[in-house]
Amino acid sequence: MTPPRARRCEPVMGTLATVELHDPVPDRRVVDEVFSWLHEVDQRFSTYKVDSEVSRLRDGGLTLPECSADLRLVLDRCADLWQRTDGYFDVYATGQLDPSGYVKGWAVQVASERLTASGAVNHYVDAGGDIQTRGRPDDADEWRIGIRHPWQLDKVSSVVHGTDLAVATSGTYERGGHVFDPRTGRPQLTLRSVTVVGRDLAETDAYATTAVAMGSAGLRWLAGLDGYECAIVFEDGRAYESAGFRRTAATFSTP
Amino acid sequence: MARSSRRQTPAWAPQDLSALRRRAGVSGGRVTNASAIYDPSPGGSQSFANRANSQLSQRILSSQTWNLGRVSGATYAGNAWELSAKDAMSQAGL
Repeated sequence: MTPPRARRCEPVMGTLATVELHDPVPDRRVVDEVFSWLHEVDQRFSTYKVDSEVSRLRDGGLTLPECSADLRLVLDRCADLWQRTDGYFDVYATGQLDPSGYVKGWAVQVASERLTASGAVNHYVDAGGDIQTRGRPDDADEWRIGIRHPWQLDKVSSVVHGTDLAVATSGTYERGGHVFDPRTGRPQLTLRSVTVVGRDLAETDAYATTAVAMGSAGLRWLAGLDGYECAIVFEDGRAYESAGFRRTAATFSTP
Repeated sequence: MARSSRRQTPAWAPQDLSALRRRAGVSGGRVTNASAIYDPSPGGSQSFANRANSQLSQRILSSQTWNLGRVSGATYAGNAWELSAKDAMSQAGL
């Protein structure tokens, strides 16, 4: 593994985030800016903080036109996903506004875009196992990302590799049934682990969550998406992969 | 590059038809998709379903050790101390 030129790891958004810069002369200040952004997102979008913007909108203390451009953008994207997923990506699945299924992936993707704009074009950003990479770890190597085995948590079940990858895993094995089937209003427990690989994390992560909410129907739904690869493990141990899952390099490398 | 990725990729056992046959259909010596297990795709068309079936295959779940960091998994929840400890351990290679 190529070591990063700069690395920082810190708890945020209820999990652990890691930023690695792999450019020859990294500017460490951009790493600080990334963590400032992630902490800001936590403050503004957390459903656990009663004074966050999301909580105030949910509780009626704010109206939609009073919300920030960021929150309106997130809610627009969530509404679009709701339409494209036959209602399975649903910020109201629990009965209350909760856009958390979109926010983390989006926040990490925005962080990655800011790193690229600052000139840090080769980087890795990870928030709780949802990962956005850009560029390469070094000139001669690709990113290699292990997919956690859903029963043997100290092992991985497969490895994906490539440049410019977004990798998101959603499942029940860490936090139990926290993804709700909006049709039943109950946690969906059929799929133990769903990994989606794409180019941009916000959509990639949302698709993994959507598949978990769909249960076994999520298998076919994911496989029908153009531009994404997937691996699915059922609670009963059955495992499925799309044809290009381990050949993601060919799918996502920038020419 | 390709060589090293092959080395790190675990050996699936797709040739192990006896194991797969119990789980999936086998036709003409080839494992076909276990389409019987699929629920109807929500709002899916026939062509969509055909594409989906050709894209997916059943695998034997295997495991391998991985101590290189960079792992995608379901988001863990924990307090800051536990998370910091987890990172310290991963840095120390534990």
